[in-house]
Order: sequence, then C-alpha cells, then structure tokens
Amino acid sequence: MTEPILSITIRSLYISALASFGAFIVATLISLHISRSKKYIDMLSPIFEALVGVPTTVIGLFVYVLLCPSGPLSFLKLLYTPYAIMFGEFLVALPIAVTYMVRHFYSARESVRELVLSLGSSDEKIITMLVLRELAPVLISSYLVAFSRAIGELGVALIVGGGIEGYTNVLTTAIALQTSMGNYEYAIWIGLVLISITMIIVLIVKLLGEYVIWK
Amino acid sequence: MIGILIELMHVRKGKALQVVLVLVVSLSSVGVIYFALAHKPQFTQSRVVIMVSTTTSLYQLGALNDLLNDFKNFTHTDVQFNILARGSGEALRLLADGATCFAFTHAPFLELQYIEQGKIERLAIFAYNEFVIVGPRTDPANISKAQNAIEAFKRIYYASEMGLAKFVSRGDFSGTHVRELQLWMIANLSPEGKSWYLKSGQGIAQTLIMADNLQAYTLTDVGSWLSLKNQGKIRNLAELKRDPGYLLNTYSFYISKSPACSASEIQDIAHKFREYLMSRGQDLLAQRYSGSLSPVKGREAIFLQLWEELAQLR
Repeated sequence: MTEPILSITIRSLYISALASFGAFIVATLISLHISRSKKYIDMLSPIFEALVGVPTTVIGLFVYVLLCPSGPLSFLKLLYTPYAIMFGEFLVALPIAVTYMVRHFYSARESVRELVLSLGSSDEKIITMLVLRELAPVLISSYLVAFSRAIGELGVALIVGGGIEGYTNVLTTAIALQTSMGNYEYAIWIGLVLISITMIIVLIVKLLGEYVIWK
Repeated sequence: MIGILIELMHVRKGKALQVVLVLVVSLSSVGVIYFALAHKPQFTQSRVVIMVSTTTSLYQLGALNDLLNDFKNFTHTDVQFNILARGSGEALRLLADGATCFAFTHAPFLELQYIEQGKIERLAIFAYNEFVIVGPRTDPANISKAQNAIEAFKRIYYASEMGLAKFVSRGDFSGTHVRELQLWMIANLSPEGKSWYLKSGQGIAQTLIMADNLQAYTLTDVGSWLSLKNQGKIRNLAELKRDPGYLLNTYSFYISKSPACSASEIQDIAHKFREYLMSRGQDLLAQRYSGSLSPVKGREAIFLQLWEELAQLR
C-alpha cells in the first residue's frame, strides 16, 4: 500500500524545485521593482512579511476554491494533479523569497548608486546590472530558502494534491499519512529523509554557486 | 570552502587533482541526470480517471484497495482510481462538490443530509461492522455492566464529572464522530467544553493512541481497533462495551450528482462497480475481512431500514 520512498522523494524534488524556481523569478522581478524607493519598501515590505506567515493550509484552501468544480479555474482540470501543488507552492514560496531579497537589493542599490554617481554616470540600467552581479549570492540563497519552504510545506500538497499514491504523494503528505495511521517511527524516518535531501541540495547549490562566482 | 579546495589544488600536484575533481563532478552529474530521467515521476494518467473519497478506516484496513483492484482485474475495466482518504464528513463534502465522483462512507446521519440536498446518490450499502466503546482495563465508569451504549455513555459522563475518567473524541465529523454525537444527543447530555472531553481532530489511529496514552474512553470501529491492537500499538485499553443496536456501523457507496461527474464513462463504471460490489465483492469481504467487515448480501432490505433509523437517530 505504501510507495517506495525513492519515487516519493523524486516527485517532491521535481514539484518543489520547479515551483520555487517560478517563485524565485517572480520574486526577483518584484524585488527589483520595489527596491527602487524607500517608500515602496516601507509600504509593501510589511505585506510580504505578513504573507510569509499564512498557514499553508489556508493557501491550499484558497487554491482548492479556485480549482474545484464550482470554481473559476475548474476548466483547467488541475485539481489533484502535481501542477496544482506546483501552483500552490509557488504562492507559498513567493512571499519569503521577496522578503529575503528586498532588503538586500535596497542596500546594494544604494551603495552601487553612490559608486556609479561618484564615477559620473547615472544610468539606471548599469546600476541594476551591477546590483545583480553584486547580489548573486543573495539570489542563490533566496532560491534555496524558497525551495526549502516549498518542499517542506504540507497544507497545499494535502488539500490540492490529495496525497494520491503514485501521483501526488510527496514527502510531506507521506509523513502525514503515516502519522495518521499511527506509524510514528516510519513518519520520523521519512522526515529525516526530507531534512537530509534538503540539506544536500542546499549544500550542492551553494558550492556550485560559489564556484561560479569564484571564477 | 571552494577557496580551500582550490588552494590545495595549486599547492600539491595541482594538475592531477584538478583532473580528478573535474572527472568526479562530471561523472556524478551524468549519473544524477540519467537517474532523474530514468525515474521521471509520472505526471500523466490513463484515460478514465475517477477520484474516490473514502473514510479512513476503510482505506487503512486495505479493503478499499482490494475491492477496487479486484474489480479492475475481474471486469478488465481500464480505469484509474485516485483515492483520497479523509473523515466521512470531508469525503461527503468532496463528493457533493464534484471534486470526487465516488465515495465510501459510514455516517448515515450526514449522508442523509447530502441526499436531501440532492447532491449525492447512494448506490449500495455494502458492508457493516460495529462500533465499540474501549477504555482503561480497570473500567472506572463500569460501562461493561451497562445495558446499552446510551447507558454506557451516561456512565462515562458521570464518572468523568467526578474526575474518574476521560473521553477522547474524534472531533472531525468522521463517521465515528457523528455516531458519538448522536449517542450524546440521545442520552441528553452535552460533554462539549468539559475538561475531561478531549477532541483530537485526527484520524482513528492517532485518536486511539491518544486514548491509550491517557487511559481514556473512546468510540472506535471494530476493524481499526483490531488492526491497531494486532500491530501492538495499543497497550492500555480494552474493549468494554458492544451494542449491535445503537453501535451498528454501515458502510455505503455513493456517487456524486455534480455535473463534473456526469460523463457517461463515469456513470457506466459506477454501475458496473455497484454490480461487482454486491456480488463478487461481497465474497471477497467475507473471505479476507471476516471479523473486521461483514458483507450485507441477501439482507439489503433490512440494512436499508437500519440505515434509515441510524440516519434519523437523535
């Protein structure tokens, strides 16, 4: 009745890596835009910071209402597919990626702007490019944070994915299922797999990133 | 970290180490990519996919998987059943929404409400067993001597009020929880808000484990009780009261009347499955699940009547 951990893990990785990548791209664009002015930051940053704390179950319910047969997006027939989980995890990961990047972007922007102005130029494009160069490590870290949040969340995967064996069962839903059956030991075991996989991925990406930057 | 590695490379036999490093990295990346492609997760399914919601007890017993697989093999029907195991309350809600098209539940009281709203249709009452009241071996409320389940609940209430006992409730509108609520209603008692009345909000396994740890009374279906006992997860509780009248537990098969489930393939398979369920399926239950689940075969009329009584019990 239970799937081998290997296929559950690979499915988890595919879904969360793609979802957090989407969140990373959108978050970068948002952060670049917001960090232009202190006013924007002061107004919008608290909103994103608050959104970080929304329970994933609530996000899951929100997506369910959109995708369920009587919902506005039901024609997409995405409910109980891995793509629904990707969409939900995208929403889960987005606020934390934005929050992480916005502050760093702002301070980097300020120092780069000073430097560029002192050299006699005022081109916004150059500033943006230099800021991105400067902040490559931050970009990597924010993707990893988004990834961790996505792969470790349960509410969305359970409600819009359903935890269907062989199809939408991911590590977190497997843990929840085993727990509900009273198999606490097996659930802890899956949890350790989740933690180690996440750590390994984070280490590898960090290493690769440093290597690329070093060159 | 990389800095140290690179320094090392330059200090000792630089070239050789560099080559080794490059080889290792490229081989492992090739390995990872091959592995990932070979084990690509399946993101598509066969043509006809039917979403099924079910009560957790039926799923955890393994009976539902057995019945669905045997049905597919026996009738050579090309269909993929995706099962969502939740409490009966959520299972019925998903069915009414059309998010799932089949449902297997055991909460007549709730089922009747959805039937009256015209959202679901019953195709069969296909199995039954009993709920049982379990509790600490010492039975402080002395329910094993009670005449019936209602009196047992009264005894639990009064003993708990005196601080001698506790009760753990599912608290999640599952079939078990709904029956428990009906029993309190008939006994004219309200444990809501009492300090000894603990609502776990979780599945039957976790609720029983909680009751086991707290040495409390709880209501459970006999299938889950035996299954957990055999797995050695319950040490401190004993079965204390049975009542084939008030504690009869009937399992029914429903389809959704939502337009999302009106496709002819789904309706076809629904009726095929009903036929299977009430013939060969009954034998399967009798063979593999005796003691946990009993077939209804031959007594459909009686169980229909019992179901109606249970649905209106209050």
